[in-house]
Amino acid sequence: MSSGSPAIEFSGLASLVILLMSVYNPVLQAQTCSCAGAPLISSQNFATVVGGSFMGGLTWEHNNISSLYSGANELNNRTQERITNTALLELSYGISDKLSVTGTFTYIEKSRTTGLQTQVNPSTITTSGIGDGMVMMKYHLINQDLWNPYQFSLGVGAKIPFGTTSLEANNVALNADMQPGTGAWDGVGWMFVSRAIRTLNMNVFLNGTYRYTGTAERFNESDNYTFGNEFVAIAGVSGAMWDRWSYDGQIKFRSTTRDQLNDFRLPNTGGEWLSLKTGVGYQVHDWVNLRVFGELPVYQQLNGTQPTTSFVLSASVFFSFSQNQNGFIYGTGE
Amino acid sequence: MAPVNNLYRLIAVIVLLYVGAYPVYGQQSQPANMQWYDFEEASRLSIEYEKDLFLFMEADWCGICKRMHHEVFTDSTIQSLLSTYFYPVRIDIESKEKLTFNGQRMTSKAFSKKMKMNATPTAIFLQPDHIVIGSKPGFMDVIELSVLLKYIQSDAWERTSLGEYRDSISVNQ
Repeated sequence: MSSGSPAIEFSGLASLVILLMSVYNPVLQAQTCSCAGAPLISSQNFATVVGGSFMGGLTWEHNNISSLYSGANELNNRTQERITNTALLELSYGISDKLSVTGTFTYIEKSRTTGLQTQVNPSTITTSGIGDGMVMMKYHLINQDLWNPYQFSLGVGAKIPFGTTSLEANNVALNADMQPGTGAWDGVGWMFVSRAIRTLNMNVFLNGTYRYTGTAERFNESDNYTFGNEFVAIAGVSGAMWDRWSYDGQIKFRSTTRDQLNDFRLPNTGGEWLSLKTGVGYQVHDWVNLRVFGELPVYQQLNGTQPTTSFVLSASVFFSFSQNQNGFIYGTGE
Repeated sequence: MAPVNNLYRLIAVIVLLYVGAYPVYGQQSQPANMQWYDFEEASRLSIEYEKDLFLFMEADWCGICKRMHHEVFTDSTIQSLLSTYFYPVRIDIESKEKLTFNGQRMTSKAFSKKMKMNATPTAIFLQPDHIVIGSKPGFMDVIELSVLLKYIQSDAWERTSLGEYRDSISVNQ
């Protein structure tokens, strides 16, 4: 692997995702990175927000990282297990019907248990703290409404390094993957396409997010760590089951390049993941919605040997407020 | 915790969630008999008896509309307010059925677009001469709709906003 600026690495999985993209065209859910700070990259739940409206969401996500893979093969001699719990607060405001701004803030707890097969008493290290945040501007080129089933939005933003990167255990600085933050500003690009199929009471959607990572300087700039660039694509379908209940099914592809320490590309980092995600929602009130999701990996092709996600569980509460929430439109509103 | 066990637990949780969602079907009360009029008949009667029209703009695929039929239009207070002060009409916004509005024949879909609808359901109020009093999109529960019906019926809409009217009712209660 050459050194230098990380570039996204694709394989056959990417072709599969592109094929799926062509078949499927919303509601997005948080995805957990197995190591790089908070799971921000695909945590953009609010594709669109009507002008003057405000939406918020609070998500708890549990990522169990207890599988061990070498390439595409699962290994049985795992020596460690990781758990990442993240709370994500996502706030979105519609500046106009065409433009919205979204901010995501996180609190993260990570634990790593080592010596599962080699020691009588495995040891666990737990870290926690405010994680990184993200701000995005989203422009809605095509807005889905009652008479137009299509939605097409683009967004750009930045991941902001709110989280600390200097936590220690026994006076020894912990690795970057155990820190709440990544310590670097990242650039983020986002797109979202959806189509409503009214007769089936469903929405099919596709979104893609790309994160171009910056470099974190630790220990008086002697330790420059760069997490791999990341690409996430989600194709899914959502709709009403009955009354207040709704469903959501997604297939998610994620690819990251290798992490880089100074000029050295770390061998056991980066790879490609394909997972299935499903969930149910319940409309508690006109402006409050609850959702529960489960996610299982179905295939991964990892660089070297890495611990990786066994499953992800998440629960969210979403709320929305509109200027016209209780309003009466006089005449025909002209 | 072994990954295989985790997987089984996850699948079990998801299955239970889906299964848990479905008994709601059986819990739904059937819509009680509420008298709905077709648009032409309601228009004729509204002129004859000087009552406003209440249009419930809905669609086959609209789950919230169905919820209102199950939870709101079955309520006796709502039924009483609607039958006493209005001529209620259901309009399928995608229907090609024609109606006559201000002397023009048009489909229900064309009418819905003319009303500048952007969400289902939407409640629209028309005076007997088809002048649009106003509309309110979105789900309304029994209390919310009953306040709106009284707001229109009492002609309070000519003097005050819906919010102020709602507040005045709360204070008086």
